[in-house]
Amino acid sequence: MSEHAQDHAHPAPHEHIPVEPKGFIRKYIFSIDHKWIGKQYLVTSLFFLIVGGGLAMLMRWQLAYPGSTVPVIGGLLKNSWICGPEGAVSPEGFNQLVTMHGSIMIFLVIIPILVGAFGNFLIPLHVGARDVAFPILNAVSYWLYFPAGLIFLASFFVGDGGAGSGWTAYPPLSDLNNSAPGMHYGQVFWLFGVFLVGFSSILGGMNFMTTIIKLRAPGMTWTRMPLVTWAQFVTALFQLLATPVLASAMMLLMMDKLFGCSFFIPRDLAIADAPTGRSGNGHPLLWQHIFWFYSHPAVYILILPGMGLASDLLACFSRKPIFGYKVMVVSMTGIMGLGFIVWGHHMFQSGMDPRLGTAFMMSTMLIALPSGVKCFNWIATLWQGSIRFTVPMLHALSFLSMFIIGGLSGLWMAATPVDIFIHDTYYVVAHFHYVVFGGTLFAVFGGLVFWFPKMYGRMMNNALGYIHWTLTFITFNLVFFPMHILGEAGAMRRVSTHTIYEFLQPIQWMNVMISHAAFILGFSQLIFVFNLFWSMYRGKKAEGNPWQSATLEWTGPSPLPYHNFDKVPVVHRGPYEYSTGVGDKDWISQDEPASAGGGHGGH
Amino acid sequence: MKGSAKLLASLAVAVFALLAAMPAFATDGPVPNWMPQNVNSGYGNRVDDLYFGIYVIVAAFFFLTEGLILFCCIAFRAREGRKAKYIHGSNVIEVIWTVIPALILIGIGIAQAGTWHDIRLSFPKESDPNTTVIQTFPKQYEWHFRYAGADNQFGSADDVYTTSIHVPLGKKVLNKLSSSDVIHSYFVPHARVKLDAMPGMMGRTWYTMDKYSVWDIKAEKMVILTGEELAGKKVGWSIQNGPTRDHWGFILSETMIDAKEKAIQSGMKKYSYAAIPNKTTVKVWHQGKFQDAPIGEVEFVFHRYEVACAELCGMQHYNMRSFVYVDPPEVYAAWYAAVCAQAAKTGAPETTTKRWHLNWDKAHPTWNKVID
Repeated sequence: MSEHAQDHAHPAPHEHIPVEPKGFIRKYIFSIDHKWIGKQYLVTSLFFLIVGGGLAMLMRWQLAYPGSTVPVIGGLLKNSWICGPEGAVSPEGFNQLVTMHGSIMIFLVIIPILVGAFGNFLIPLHVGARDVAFPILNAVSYWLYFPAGLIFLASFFVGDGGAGSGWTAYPPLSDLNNSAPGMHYGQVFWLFGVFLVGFSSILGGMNFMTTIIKLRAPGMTWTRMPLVTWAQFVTALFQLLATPVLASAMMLLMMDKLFGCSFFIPRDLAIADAPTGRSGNGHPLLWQHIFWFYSHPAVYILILPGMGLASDLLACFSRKPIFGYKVMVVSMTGIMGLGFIVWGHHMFQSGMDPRLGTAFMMSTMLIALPSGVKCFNWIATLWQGSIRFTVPMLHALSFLSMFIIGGLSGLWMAATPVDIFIHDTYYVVAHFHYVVFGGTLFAVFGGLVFWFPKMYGRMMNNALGYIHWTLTFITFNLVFFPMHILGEAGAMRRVSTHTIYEFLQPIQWMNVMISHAAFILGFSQLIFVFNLFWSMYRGKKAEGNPWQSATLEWTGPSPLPYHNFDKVPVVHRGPYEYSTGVGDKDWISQDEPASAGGGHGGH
Repeated sequence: MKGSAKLLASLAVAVFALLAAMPAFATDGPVPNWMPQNVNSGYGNRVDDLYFGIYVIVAAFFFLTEGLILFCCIAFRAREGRKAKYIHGSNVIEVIWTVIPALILIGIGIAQAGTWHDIRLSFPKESDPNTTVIQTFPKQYEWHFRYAGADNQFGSADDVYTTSIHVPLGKKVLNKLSSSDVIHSYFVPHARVKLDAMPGMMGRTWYTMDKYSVWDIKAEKMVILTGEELAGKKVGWSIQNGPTRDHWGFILSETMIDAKEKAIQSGMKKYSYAAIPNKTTVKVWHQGKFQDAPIGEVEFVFHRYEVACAELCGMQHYNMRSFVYVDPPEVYAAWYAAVCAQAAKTGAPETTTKRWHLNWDKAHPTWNKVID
């Protein structure tokens, strides 16, 4: 079987072994080693995670106690763009918090940590390569992302505050410089930041795709690739096809703002009854179409790599092959195909032609199918397994159970008449946090604990890991599940004070409860960050394969050498050969000779 | 390992029990329901029914899948002597759990389509005298509405401009929407109505309000009553919504609770109606007629449904609020006659009329032509 597989796999890549540079700058700053760049992405995105989470805490304080001084840091924030003279979050400050929280979490945390950190670290290891296809381009990707993040943060400190038009930046609000505080320089900085991060994403996608297509080790056929790598491959496709559209949208909006064009401005528009002076032959709806043509696929960029991570963890800790490997791959590609024809479901209430609404509803209903099939396959992977409740597994199980909730709640929004009521309410906020936090971040936490030994040669502290998971799982649900009910009660998102509305006053207690749970949730993440950095230096030294996993990266020492593999491995089977019943141990590595057994995993 | 399995199982059970129990805290109705009471007989019930129809399907899948995960965690946990089964998959099972959900999803989609058509592609005729046509043209951060006035022609000198709206009970209302600055979204939670007011185009939404919002003076709270339920009550008006000055008997006060500090902490406001000083008798609506009554006998005051902006529109977005008052048809007629007379006498300020003529007529997307 192995010889046969080798016949139609790629020929061995050249055997040139890269040498680790000695200088500090080449080694640590402008490194071209995929593992180090992955770590750069990891640390940077964790920093932005803390920033984005901090902004969420400020929002939650305002929502629970509108108009009251922010504790501890309220004094420092007095008379800033965020807070008024009494140190309470101001209405315009709240809009900036909403905007920057969403933008930072999507553009600077989730995508970079999934693709930049995990993609970089794992893809070459999983395909048996010594690095990515274009190592210098890889470094360029990071060095576009990092300044983009700084530009995002700088937007808080220019002009009259940061961007405040939401992460969706709908024109004319985002387009007209005088439409609200922060819409001039703050919004331009935001646009430039997204533009750069988009370029970084495109370069990364191109690099990963080439790596996966061209640098697979001998015997690493498409159906022997771990699902993490398949997920990264599909994500790279998404990035290559969708992100240029986002970059174009940013450029058009920038031309509107800086050069007085009118791509998104209709005729006779006025702010405070004063004409804008634009020629006005454009249309705001155009932005929504372009933006969501990227941003709906972006939702899958936010979850697909998480699905990949969870697949590996669920198989490893159930000690079973993943159930329906090929169906899992087909589902991911199905998600990609359908992902490009569902963007209109964000626009059901925009005034778009309602007949399009019906079409987008049906395509949106259908995209639930591949995700549903994946969930059934994950559950079937657990079935009759021998489940080890390690910290990564608890996170993977949380991913699965929370993603199911996030996926199911999407059905209401896909249904056009029902969406009329819940559109732009907390229902939507609950839905996407169940997907992006409940799904992706749990997978990220699980993945980090799992691959930490390969990254740093040490194990993360187990006790802190259990404490972090327990607090996160409970408080996450206490924060985001009640948001479904807030949405059902009609509570609008992006509104700084719900108590102004009579119909929302009876449920203000829920906002208070959510905020208190959110503060504990926020605090719990500091435990994880502490554990991560503490374990880098003080954690227990890791052996080569501490989790008894079957993919290629576990065949070497922990941490792996600069060149990854002393000899490019030859792959003989699929990635999830657990409990085959052959030999003493209950897993067979992908590179073990064919005589070791485990025939089913990939052809 | 055994301890962590127990930990997982107990935590998971606790959280899922909590999640499952949440709807039980709900307020009223046959199905657990936190939604504002539905008052739109045009299609509100159909929206709610579809919502709860999906609820049943989702609940079934939720308990099935989460239950299976829990079961697996307990039954297949690693322990002495346990060996996992080497299974790669089953095509038969894959087909089953692909086809069944596919049929359900397509079914849900088909079930929605008719209602969507009736809401967004089938509108009451503007020429129908039983249709109340209201143009809505918000700007940061105010809602502005326009009625056609006595001549029933929009754009003429006697148009009625308002910042909240009155509609007659049980009659169809057609709201036409655009915006003069940024995108706003017209959201009436009790009517299940939401549509963006998009600059550069005109949107349309319609609804039929079939219940009154009234303020129970004794209980100090808003209640929603049908025409029959209200018929035997004596209902007065405040200066916000009385048809004419003669009808005003009350002032709506939106006072902060207790001390300022407490109010700031909670952010809560309390609404109440106070009698206008020195008024002893007021006009009330009772048994389908205008009547005079001692102010002490008034049980209810006509209240309002809230309108919110659901699209982030700038600094004061959170505070962009308006109201829909639902009147008995005769009361609506009296109110409309009064505001038309006032408009014919004074006209509207030039800034207002100028804004209203910005591109309004040209803002006509293709689909409006199709349904016209």
